[in-house]
Amino acid sequence: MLPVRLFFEKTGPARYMSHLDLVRCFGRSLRRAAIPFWYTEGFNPHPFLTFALPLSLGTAGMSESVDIKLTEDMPFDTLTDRLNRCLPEGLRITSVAEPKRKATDIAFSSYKIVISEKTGICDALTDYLSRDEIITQKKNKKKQMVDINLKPSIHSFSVSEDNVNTVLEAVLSSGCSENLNPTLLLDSFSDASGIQLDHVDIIRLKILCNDLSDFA
Amino acid sequence: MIRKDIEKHLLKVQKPCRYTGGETGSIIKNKDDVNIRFAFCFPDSYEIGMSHLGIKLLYSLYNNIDDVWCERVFAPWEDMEKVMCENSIPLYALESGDALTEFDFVGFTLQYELSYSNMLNMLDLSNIPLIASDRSDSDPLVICGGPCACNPEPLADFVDIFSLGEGEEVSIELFDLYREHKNKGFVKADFLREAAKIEGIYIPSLYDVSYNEDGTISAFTPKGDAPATIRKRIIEDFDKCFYPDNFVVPFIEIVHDRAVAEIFRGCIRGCRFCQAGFIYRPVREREPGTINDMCRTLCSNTGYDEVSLSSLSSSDYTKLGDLLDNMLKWSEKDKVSINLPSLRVDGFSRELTEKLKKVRRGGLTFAPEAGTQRLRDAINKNVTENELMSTCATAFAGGWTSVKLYFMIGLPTETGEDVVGITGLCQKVVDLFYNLPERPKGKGVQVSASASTFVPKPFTPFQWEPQDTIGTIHEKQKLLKDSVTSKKISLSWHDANTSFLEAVFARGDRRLGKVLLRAHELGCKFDGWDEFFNLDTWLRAFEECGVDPAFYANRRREYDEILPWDHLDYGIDKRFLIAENERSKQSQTTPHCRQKCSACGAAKLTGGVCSVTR
Repeated sequence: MLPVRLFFEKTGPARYMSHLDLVRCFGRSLRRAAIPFWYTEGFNPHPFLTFALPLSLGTAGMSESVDIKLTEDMPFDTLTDRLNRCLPEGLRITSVAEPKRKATDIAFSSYKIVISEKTGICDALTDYLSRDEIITQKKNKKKQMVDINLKPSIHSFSVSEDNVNTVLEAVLSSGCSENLNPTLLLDSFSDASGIQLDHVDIIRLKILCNDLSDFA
Repeated sequence: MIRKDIEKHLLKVQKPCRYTGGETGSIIKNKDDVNIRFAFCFPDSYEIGMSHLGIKLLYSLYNNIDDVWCERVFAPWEDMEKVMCENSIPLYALESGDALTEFDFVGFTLQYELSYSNMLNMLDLSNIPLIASDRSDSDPLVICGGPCACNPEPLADFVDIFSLGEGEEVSIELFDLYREHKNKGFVKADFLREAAKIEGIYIPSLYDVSYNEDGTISAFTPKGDAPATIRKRIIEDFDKCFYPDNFVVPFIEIVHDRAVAEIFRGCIRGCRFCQAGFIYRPVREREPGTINDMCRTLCSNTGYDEVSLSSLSSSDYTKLGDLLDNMLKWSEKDKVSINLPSLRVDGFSRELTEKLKKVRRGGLTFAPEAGTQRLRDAINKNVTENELMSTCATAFAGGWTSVKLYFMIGLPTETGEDVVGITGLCQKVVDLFYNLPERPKGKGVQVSASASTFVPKPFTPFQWEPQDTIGTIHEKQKLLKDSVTSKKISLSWHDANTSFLEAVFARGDRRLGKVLLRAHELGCKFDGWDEFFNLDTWLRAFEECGVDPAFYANRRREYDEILPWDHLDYGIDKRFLIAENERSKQSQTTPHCRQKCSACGAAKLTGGVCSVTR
């Protein structure tokens, strides 16, 4: 059995799929494409699919990853072509490879965040993200609101603007131990500054390992 | 195709994939190549509508015609409706994103009466005039079909065309006529008069109804040359009947999220409460080879790993063994599990369970419908307690530890003894489990009993019967609840209020149109959902319109009363229904169609079990 890592884009209408929708969709697409992939055993067999890092509903991803196991060998470019013909609009396999890194190596994600039809907030946003501490409230597992500091989860960032939009590029902590959702960061900025951000387009560009190399 | 003006609001609503379209299997056509645009509307949420087999079937059939483009429309959930209203976005079809006003036909499938308010709401959200006579030659034609079309009268004010019976052939004839009229300059009145000549097409505006002083109907009069009775359409050769080779596969999880093959239409049984058992007569089966091919094709085109063999009573399929043997040749290897809903208590065997659990084990559901033998005989369910016990024993021995049982309360002739008989029967199933040496070890048993409220329906032997009042139903529900003797039994029941409204509209007449309109104005929608349904608002609408709902729900009709659906011919002879009603009072059963023909009248429709020599 050959473990295989599929890298894919999730854009357009597909970005509105939840993670569970995506899992179901991949299973069905692999079946439509007649890819020989492994099912779990037992009373309720299901497609074996391991996603590196779930993506929030509404966020686009340019280099997401899912692992499958092939039960028969097949050339990677055949796999890519066959699967791409069966995926819905917005999902597209960009490359296929044997897994090199473990999911536990994941430490960061790089994001491009386009704040549509909003300019003149570059300085306010830069100042906010440059603070020594960024305290905001978040529900903990017991559903109590607790104060947390977002600052240690911001690895790096840059803010720019064109004629219509403000663009924030940032590398934020990701993975199972420490994870910062960009929506939480933007909400805390809105709350602190009183600046409403109506239409925000969040794109995860890359999933990165602890040494900042691409997750491969 | 997701429109930009819609997309920017999508993160404000729950489950945005309900509104994006773009699912695999959805069909996009070039508008320039299309003559007829059909908006297929399901008047409920996306998850309910997408689970419905009829929409999958007709979507595929219509889109197979080159110049017809059929698209899907569902009722937007409350949050999305708010966003649409605030931003002046009219209701749109999922494939093109176009507003419904741009369509030639706006079609609704009527699966249950409680969706009528949603139909009006969807027309309203589309900016289409609600009243049929207010719509001009350039407005879309509103057409309805589905089981509730067998009593279309409460919707007569709003609908231009009703399609009675099975829609596969009649829609194509209607499209042909429409194309002809569109080419020569479309005049709605002329088109409707011509359409009325097609068998299975009912144009309510071509008929007048008059009433007696007591509120019953005195006469039903066709205008001009409209036919006096309208007969339902039926597919004679069901094995050759069109079936889709692909489904639209949703992104979000829907209620029935699997491939479905329809193995036969109609039902041989004739349970006296069951409308489907009468209006889809006669039984017509597909060949096992045809079904096997359908299932395999659907699974490979959709990617589903579960297929359901659908019908009104799947264990009555005469070639079930052959079919399952054929299917298991590929399904096991392809990890496809086979699902057999609507199993009869007397149609379950060790062999069948072994075949069904090859890939995945599903749940088991049976419908004894009533708690005592006397009442089961009165409703002609033809299932005995011994059969239920031996079936459950088989299931438990085969490894199942839970079973779902469906019952009804409020059935004609029901007494308190029948009501507590429901929990008595459940207790016997629990006891059976613990007395069974080969039961699964180390596990408890779970018996889930669901008690819905009986709603008398047109074209059944109980069409003259009163429904129990809400008060009586509440008493019976309490009696039922208090009679539960074990924690292994979990009991659920339906809200009596919604069943009351369902009973009003099921046997209603044209005077309910103004009540429906008023209820819509007062904000009634999603009446099938507990969180939306409000009986008080409905009662206000009835009162303001001077209509007594009890006249429709709780009144016993005489056999000689003109019923609102008497001008429609579903093949079932009224004399047969009267005889069945009388036999019910004597708790006499009637043999099923394969044992003996009971001369219900469906034989004149030809095909299926009626033409088989017994």
